[in-house]
Amino acid sequence: MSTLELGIDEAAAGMVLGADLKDDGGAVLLPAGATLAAATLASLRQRGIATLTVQAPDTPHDSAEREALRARQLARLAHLFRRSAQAGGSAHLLERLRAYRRNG
Amino acid sequence: MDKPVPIAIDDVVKRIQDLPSLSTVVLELLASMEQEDVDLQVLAAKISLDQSLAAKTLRLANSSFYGMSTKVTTIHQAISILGFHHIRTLVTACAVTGSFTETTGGGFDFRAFWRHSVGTAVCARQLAPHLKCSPDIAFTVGLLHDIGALVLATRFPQRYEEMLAYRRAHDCYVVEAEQAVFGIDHALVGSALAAYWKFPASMQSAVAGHHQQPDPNQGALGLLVHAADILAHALDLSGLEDELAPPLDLDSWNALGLSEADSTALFAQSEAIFQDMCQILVN
Repeated sequence: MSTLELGIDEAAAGMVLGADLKDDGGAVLLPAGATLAAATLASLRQRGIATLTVQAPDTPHDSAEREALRARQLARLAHLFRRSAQAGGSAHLLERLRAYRRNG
Repeated sequence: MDKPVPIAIDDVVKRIQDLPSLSTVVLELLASMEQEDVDLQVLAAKISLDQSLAAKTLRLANSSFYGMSTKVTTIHQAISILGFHHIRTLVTACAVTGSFTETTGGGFDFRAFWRHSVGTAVCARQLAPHLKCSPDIAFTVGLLHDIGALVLATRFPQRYEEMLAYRRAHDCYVVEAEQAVFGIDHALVGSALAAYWKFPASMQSAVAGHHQQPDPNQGALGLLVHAADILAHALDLSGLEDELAPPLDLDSWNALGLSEADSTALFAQSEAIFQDMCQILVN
């Protein structure tokens, strides 16, 4: 499992810690493998934590595999919105979800 | 088929009284949702008496839902660290999802029902700060928004099967199929159950209106549940093959006021928290 170092403001809820997060004294605040909830990130920020090591997201090695997964996810979105894509708000929501699935 | 005789809401209300009852503790907790002065010690002691309820609540308290670094091991400790409001929400979630276990055979998919309900609860909680609503009330209403469907499915199982067949045949929304086969829909039935369980009025009307275009004069909770339900369908959380996202009107989208960064964070957080909650609440 490869890891990334991120500034606290780049980290997002749902990311998983790639290494034990320790305070200045060396005590473990959160163990490797802990999922970062929004509330956790807020409290870490308050404690003055500046950087975090997170697990890099799993991505299929094969770019064709990645493309196929994206295609399936986008097709699934079209299926979910098959009756509502015309609604004004749904069109915006669908656009945001497409971008989210494409970048995932 | 001949147009079926519509079911009167009074008949439904009578059947509601036959439902498995929520325990007195949970009814007290639900009724206390908008009260200020609640006897915490007494309620905490009552919750702790129900061991499986207390254990499930503690698992939720220790999950990524709150992302705490210290583990809590008793209800009293959980209340002092997280606060009573949060614990009340968790206890209610555990009790309600535990109350309605699979009693009838037939077409009703309990597991998918609870997955969608927990999904809506999580999405509602994550949306709540954007609409200046209490995350705990949002979570609870989200969890219970479709409870009317459980009433229809368990009290009128044969008609419910017909309704599901109608929905599949027409690929229409569930409320359309319910109107065609029952003459009423699960939102109305849900609000009758919410009244029976003495939910605060704002929660009753949010349940009643969750499939209609929200009325801006009715307060944010209605918009919140309406949007959270749509989002839970759109994020594909229930696991059902023939999922269908209900429509979101443009005014409601604009009222949510979500930037791209907001919606990305919302989708990611909702999915991540949903996975953890489902493992604990839905078997």
